[in-house]
Amino acid sequence: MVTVENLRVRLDNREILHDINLKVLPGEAMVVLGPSGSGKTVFLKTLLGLIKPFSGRIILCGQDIGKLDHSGILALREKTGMVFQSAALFDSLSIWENVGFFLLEHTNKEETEIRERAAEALGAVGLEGILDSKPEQLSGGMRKRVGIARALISKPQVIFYDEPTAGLDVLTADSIVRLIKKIHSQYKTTDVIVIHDIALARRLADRIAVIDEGSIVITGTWDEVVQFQHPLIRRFLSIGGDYEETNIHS
Amino acid sequence: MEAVGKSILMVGDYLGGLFFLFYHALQSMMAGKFRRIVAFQQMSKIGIDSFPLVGVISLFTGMVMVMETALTLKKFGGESYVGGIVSVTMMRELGPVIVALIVAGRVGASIAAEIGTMKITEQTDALEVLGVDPVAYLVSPRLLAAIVMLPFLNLIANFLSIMGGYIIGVFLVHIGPGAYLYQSFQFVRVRDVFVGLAKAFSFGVLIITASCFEGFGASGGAEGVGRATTRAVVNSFFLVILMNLILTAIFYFL
Repeated sequence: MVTVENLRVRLDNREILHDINLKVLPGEAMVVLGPSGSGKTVFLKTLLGLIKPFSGRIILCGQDIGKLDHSGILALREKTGMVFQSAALFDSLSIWENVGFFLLEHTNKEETEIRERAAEALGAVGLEGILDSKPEQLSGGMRKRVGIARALISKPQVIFYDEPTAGLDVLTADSIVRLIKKIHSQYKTTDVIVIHDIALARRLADRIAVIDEGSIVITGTWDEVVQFQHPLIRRFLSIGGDYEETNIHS
Repeated sequence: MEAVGKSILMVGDYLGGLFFLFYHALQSMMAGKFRRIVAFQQMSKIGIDSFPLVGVISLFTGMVMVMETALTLKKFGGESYVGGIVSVTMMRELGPVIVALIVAGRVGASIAAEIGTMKITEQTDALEVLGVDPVAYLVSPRLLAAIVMLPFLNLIANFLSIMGGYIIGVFLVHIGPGAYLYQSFQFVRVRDVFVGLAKAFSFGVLIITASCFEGFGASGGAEGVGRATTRAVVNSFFLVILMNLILTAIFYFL
């Protein structure tokens, strides 16, 4: 579903990502785990076409994104959804306009129909009665849920999540993790989840790709990753140990 | 020498960035790829909301100009020419510059802050991911609003500054009302009005492009947005004054 081949990204004459290779299978939840500054957000933005790679190929839903024209990109956008770290809701628009933004901009559907679709997507993430509210009236957790609803509205095949629990308290973070898992199984989506918390990675991932200083160190299941002898993984495990014991209950 | 070279490269880079942003926004505008409703909202924000400030400042400027000019012309017994001098100066020079500086301070700062905040909260990335060109969505409607509303504000500024001058000219300098109005319009040619409108149009383009450019360049959280806002206002002021000099020179020789 997502294939990355020999990807290199340079920003300001500095190579950020070095020769990345990754294959995400259909229906798989792939967690990209790494500390701050490891290049995971740049990697995600490159997958989304927001950053142009220096070299390499990205194949998304069977299409090489480097070879697509505007209409091809647009068609691909409909098959993918993105949940931003900060939710990235448009402050000037109401919640239903935020959720239905893609349909409002790219289809000729009636507003009432888009409103209904937005209500449906919001219902799927456990939010009701906020269609006409503004993003500023919502809590951090609710904003994240609206961001997920926005990603869901076009019924995407692939959903990208950038640090979905960042800035949330433990209980709200837990509810977001449960929601991501629910959506993954209910909508049969392929998920690419960028995260820096190893305990959450374990809960969310079918497989984990560990990224460090712009290179993928290992890709594998939880068991494969924890067996792998690498200083970063040892550090992650030593810090995440206690948290794991008390919080890993999906 | 190296520092001079670097500065020249930076200025070239900045002006190139402004040009490409303007060109991109203009293309999207001409292709109609922008939200009409946002353009109307921006027209209200740039035009209607700026009207009270532009009105009061233009009125006062007209008054001040008449007093200052009359003081000098009295020495030569030429105070009856005050109206004409003030009208031409306001229409060709001060009107468009005053309007531009007010809009740059009020609207330019707000545009840079709004787009800068959208940039650091990933809203501009979200637009792209949702298949919407951020320049078409954010810059084109503002550009259209500015090129419509700045000439309109300029006409209002011209009218009110002449009225301000009239009040002082008639009631303080004691020029006859008919004589003042006659003088005011005797020297004004249609060409002067068009020079002012052309300047207002160009200043509108500059203010919006420079402010949006700084907004898109914002980075580093709230502090970064603050820096972008300051740069937007300072650069807009500088560009307006520079463009005024260039346009005045062009119209002088034409």
